[in-house]
Amino acid sequence: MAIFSVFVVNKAGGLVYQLERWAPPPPPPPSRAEAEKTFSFPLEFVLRPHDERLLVAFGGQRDGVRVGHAVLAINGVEVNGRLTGDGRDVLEYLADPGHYPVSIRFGRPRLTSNEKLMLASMFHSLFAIGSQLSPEQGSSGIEMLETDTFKLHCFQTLTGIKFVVLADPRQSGIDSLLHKIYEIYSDFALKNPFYSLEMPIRCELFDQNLKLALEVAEKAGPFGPGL
Amino acid sequence: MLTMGFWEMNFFQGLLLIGSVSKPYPSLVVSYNWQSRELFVLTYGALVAQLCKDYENDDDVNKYLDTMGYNIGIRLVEDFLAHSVVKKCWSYSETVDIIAQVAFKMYLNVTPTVTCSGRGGNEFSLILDKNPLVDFVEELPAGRSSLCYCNLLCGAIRGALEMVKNCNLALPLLLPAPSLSHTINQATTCTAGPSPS
Repeated sequence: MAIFSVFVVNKAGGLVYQLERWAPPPPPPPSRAEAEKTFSFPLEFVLRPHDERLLVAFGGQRDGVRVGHAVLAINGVEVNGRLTGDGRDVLEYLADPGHYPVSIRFGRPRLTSNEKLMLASMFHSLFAIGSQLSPEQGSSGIEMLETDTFKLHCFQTLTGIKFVVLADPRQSGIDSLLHKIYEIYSDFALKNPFYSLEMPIRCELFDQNLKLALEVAEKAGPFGPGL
Repeated sequence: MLTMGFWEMNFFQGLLLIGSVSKPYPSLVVSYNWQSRELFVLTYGALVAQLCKDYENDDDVNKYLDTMGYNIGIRLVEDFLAHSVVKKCWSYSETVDIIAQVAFKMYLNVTPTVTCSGRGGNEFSLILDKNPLVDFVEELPAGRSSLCYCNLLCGAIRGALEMVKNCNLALPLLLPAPSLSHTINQATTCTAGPSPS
């Protein structure tokens, strides 16, 4: 999965469409995003509840567990927010030494749809700030955000719609992919007579064609098919 | 508020067919384009005739044509920008030139002439010598002297320009069929969008 997600943000900064593509996490060995380890009492991390999840607030940055990672599963059973699979509070469960040794899987938490909405508006504001701060006149705003694990590409149309693609840093051809997504948006979302502008996109044809375009872009990338 | 009705949808598809890109077989290209063009012109004629039946007042018909055109324009502009390679325009006259030479050519296969009516470069007129919409219209019916037959085009241009934040309000000044003279006023205070593009 070289292309991780696609977001479409409307003129007002609201998230209009999002698509996340996840590969199933490899069980062992621990990837950068997730780690499962067996721990004995007492835990060397400090876990704090945040929203509906338990996050590592303070702790050893080793074994692949980092601050900000969430508790994903205990003893192989996925946690349900702050409760274990069978309905007990996780913090209480982990406070009881009788339950140890316990195997906990930590990982980067998946974003909820509310968080995605928030992040989209935040990106919209940052984009505006970026174009204001630019020393050049008439800046086109943030086009790319590069980190060591992913690259965020953004394309803003002349009408103010932003298409955001998160992809592997080595993936090429994202510029043409962004234009292709714009074409797909103008074809399948806008020409649908029952789609209202600036509203969330719920068009089957748009979904299908977008997924097709992503697959084509991945195959054409530097990795070739099969990755 | 911004949904497209049945007529607008048909019209929209007709607009796209009339300027569609060539297919592999030349003879089929000619007949395909010609027939879809006829369909488009007939659809528009039926639309205006129906509106005239529905509304006594010319102003109402003009208003509804403009609204429908606006709904088409706000969607058509994205299609235009996605399929053409126009860059951002830095002056209003550039924008009007692009509309006349690229957009009209792409969708209606005609190129109107652009005239500037002074006032500091804020007013332009697009004169269509050959208007495909009025190919079969001889004269307006009696009592419909202030009908703006091509008001849909004006609405479409207004909608398209509003989406790219070029003008706040377009005041179309029209003559009834067969010629179309569309004057676009750029508002003296243009609102800047939240993300300057």
